[in-house]
Amino acid sequence: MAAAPPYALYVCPCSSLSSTTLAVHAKRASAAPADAQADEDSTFNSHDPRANYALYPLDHLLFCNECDCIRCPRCYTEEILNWYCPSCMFEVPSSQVKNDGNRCARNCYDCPICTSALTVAALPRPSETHLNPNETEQGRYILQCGYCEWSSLDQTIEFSKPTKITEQLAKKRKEQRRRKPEDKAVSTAHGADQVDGYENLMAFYKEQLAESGDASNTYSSSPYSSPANLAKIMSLYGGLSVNALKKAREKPQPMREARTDKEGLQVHSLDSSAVDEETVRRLQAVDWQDTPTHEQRFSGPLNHQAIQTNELWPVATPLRIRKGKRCSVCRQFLSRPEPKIPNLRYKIRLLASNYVPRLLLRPLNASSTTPNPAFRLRPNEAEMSPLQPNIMQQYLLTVRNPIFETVKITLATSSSTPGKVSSRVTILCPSFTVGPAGDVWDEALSSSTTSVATDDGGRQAAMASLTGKSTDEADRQPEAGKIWTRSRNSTSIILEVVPGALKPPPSIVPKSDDEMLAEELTEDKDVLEIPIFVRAQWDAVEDTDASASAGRKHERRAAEGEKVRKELAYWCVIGVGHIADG
Amino acid sequence: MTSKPSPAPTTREKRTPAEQPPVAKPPCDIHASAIIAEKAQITGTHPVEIAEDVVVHPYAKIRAENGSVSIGKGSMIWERAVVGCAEGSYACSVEIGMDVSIETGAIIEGAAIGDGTIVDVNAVVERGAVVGKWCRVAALERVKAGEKLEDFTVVFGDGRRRTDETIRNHEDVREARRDAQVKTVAVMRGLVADAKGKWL
Repeated sequence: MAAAPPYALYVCPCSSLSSTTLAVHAKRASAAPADAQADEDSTFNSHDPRANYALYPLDHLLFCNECDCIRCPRCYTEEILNWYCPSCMFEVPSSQVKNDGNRCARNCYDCPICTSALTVAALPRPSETHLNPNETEQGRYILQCGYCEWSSLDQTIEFSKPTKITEQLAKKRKEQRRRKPEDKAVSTAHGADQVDGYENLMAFYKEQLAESGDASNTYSSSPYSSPANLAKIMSLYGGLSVNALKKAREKPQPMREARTDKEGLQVHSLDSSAVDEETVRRLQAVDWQDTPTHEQRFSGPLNHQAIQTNELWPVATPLRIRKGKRCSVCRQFLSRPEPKIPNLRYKIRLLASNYVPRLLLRPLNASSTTPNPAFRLRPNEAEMSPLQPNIMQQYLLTVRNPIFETVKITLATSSSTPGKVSSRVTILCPSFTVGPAGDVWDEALSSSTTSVATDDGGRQAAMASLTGKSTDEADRQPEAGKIWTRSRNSTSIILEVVPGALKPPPSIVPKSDDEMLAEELTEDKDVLEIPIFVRAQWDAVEDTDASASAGRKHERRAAEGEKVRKELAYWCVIGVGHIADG
Repeated sequence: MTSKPSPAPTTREKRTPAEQPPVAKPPCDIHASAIIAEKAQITGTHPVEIAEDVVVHPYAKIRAENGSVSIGKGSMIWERAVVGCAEGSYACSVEIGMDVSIETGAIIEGAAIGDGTIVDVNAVVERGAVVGKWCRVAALERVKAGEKLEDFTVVFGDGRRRTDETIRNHEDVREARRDAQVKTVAVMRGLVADAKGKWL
C-alpha cells in the first residue's frame, strides 16, 4: 500500500459487481440480500491482487444518501456541467463550444512559445504626435507575453483597438495570406491550410443551401410559408392538391460541388517534389532552436504548418470544464459545483467522511504520540518499528462518528488474518456506541454535567495530565467487553494482535520446489493488514422520501414515533505495520 | 516590601556592542538622488558605487566582501535581492548597468548585467556570468557561472533561450520599457524612506 502504516482503507461495495449488474441489483431486491449475505460471510482478503481496486482512503470516497452506500470513482459517473475560459472566467454555452473549437472566442490568447496568457499592451505614440494626438489617428496595440517577452510584433501584427482581438486577428491573417502567396502554395500541397479551406467550403455550402432553399420555397418571407397556412389556402382555392405540392417540395434539388480554390476545392497532388524542396530549403535556413516543437505546432490550427517559431500565431485559450459526479445507480448528484464560474464552492458534495464512521489505529503504549495521519506531511515521517512475530501487541482502535445521531457500532473480524502470513486478532469490545457529532461548544458547555468524567478526553483529562494525577490511567488494564475511552463523538477500544511469522519454523524434512515457491513472499505481503467488518446502526428522523422507499434493505420502520432504523455496513482494512523478518 | 527583580534581558540586549560581530562598512560612493532603505544592507570592504536614481529596497543586500559593486543609473534592487558575493576566496566584482531591475529574492553574483535587463523573482545569475543588454532572466531561472548571454536574450522555461525580437527590432518598445522603469523609480522614491546617510 502507498500509505505508511498505520492506515485505514475502506472497501467500496462495487468491487464485486460490475457497473451493469449494479443497476440490476438495485432493481431486483431479491438478489441483493443473498449477495450481501455472501459478502458478509466471506472475509475480505486485502492481499488479493484485485483488492487494490476496491480499497480507498476515506477522503477519496463519496456517499450516496439515496442508496445509503459508499461510492468510489468506479461507481459514479462524471458529466460536464459547463465550459468556461480560465482567463476571462466567462461561461461559454455548450451550443457554441464546438463552433469555436473548444476555445475562447473573446480576447483571450495564449503565448505560442511558452503558453502563458497574453496581455493587450498599448504601444507608445510617436514623440511628435504625443502631445497633439490626432483625432483620426488610431491607437497601436499588441499582444504581449509577460514571461518570455514574445509579442505579436514578431508576426508584425498590430491592432487598432484593444477589444475584438479575434476579429482583428482573422482580418490580419487574411491580409497576410494575400501578401504571401508562396506560403499558401506550400501549405496547400501539405494537406491544405485547414482553416481557410474550411471557411471557403462553409461559405460555398451556405450559399448552395440558400439557393436550393429559395428554389423550393418562393414565399419564404411571406405568411404563406407555413405548411398549415398553405394547406388551408390551397383547400380554399382549389388547384394543386397539398400532397402534390409536398411532393414537388420534397424533390431533391441537385447541389453542385466545389469546383475552384475559392469555393474550398483543394486538389491533392501526388508529385510534391517541388514543394518538398521548397520546404527543405526553408528549413535549411533556420537553426534547430528556431523550429517549432510538436507542442507548439499542435497548439492551434493556425500553427500546424509553421516551419519557424516566428511563424507561430497566438493561440486562443482552450476552454476548461467543470464536472459533476452522479451516482451510477440512482443518478443523484454526489458532487456538483456552484453554477457561477468564479465561485469555487460546491452546491452538493456528499463526502463519505461526513457519513461513514472513521477508524483510527495507534499503539496502546506508544513511547511517543503518533501524529494524526491526516496531518502527516510525508509517508515515511512517522516510520514505525517492525512488528515482532508471535508477540502480542495491544492497539487502540478509535471509531469516530461524523453523523448527528448516536451510532451503535458492531465490529467483526476473523480470528486470523487472510493471506500467507496469518496473524491472530482479537477485538476486546466488538459492540459499543459512539456519541453524536456536533458543535465543539456543546462538549465544552456540557462537560460539567457529563457522567463519564474520568474517561472523556476533555478538560478533566487535560487537568489530570497537568497535575500528574493520572495514576489510575497508568495502572489500568484492558478488559474484555469494556471500552477504553469515550469522548463526545469517538469511542476507543482495545485490539490485541499477535503477528504471524513470515517464515514457517525450520523443518528437517526437505521441501519440494513448489513448497519453496509458495513460501516466497511477494511485495507487501509482510504488511499486517486486518480486515474489519463495520456495522453501524442508528435511528434517524424519517424524511418524506423514506416512506416511499420503505422496502429497501437498509431501512425498516421503527416501532415508535417517526424514527427509522438505519444501517450501514462496510469492510475496512487497517494497516498495522510491517512484520519483522525472522 | 521587596523590590521586583528586573526582567531577564533578552538575547539581543544581553550582547554588548563590543561582543557584536564587527560589520565592515565599505567605502560607498552613493549619488545624492539615490534611495537606500534603512533596512537595506551594504557589507564588505571593496568599494560600492551607486549612481543616480537608484532605489535599494528594504532587506536588499549589497555584498562587497570579494569585489566591488557598481549599480547604474535608474536601476532598482527589490526586497531580499542580493547583489555581489560574500562567500568564496576569489575576486568577484559586479557591475550593473542602467535601468536594470533586480526583482525580489534574485541573486546576482555575475560579472556584469547590461542596460535595461530584468532579473525576475528568485532568479540567479551565478559567478562570472555576463548578461547582455535588454535581456530577461525569468522567474526562478538560473544563468550558469561563466556563461555569456547575448543582448536581447530571454532565459525562460527551465533554461530555454530565445532572442527577444520585439525589443531588438523596435526602438519605441525599448523606449516604452525605459519610461516604465523611470516611472516606477519615481513612484518608489515616494514610498521608500531614504537612509543613505548611514552609509556615507
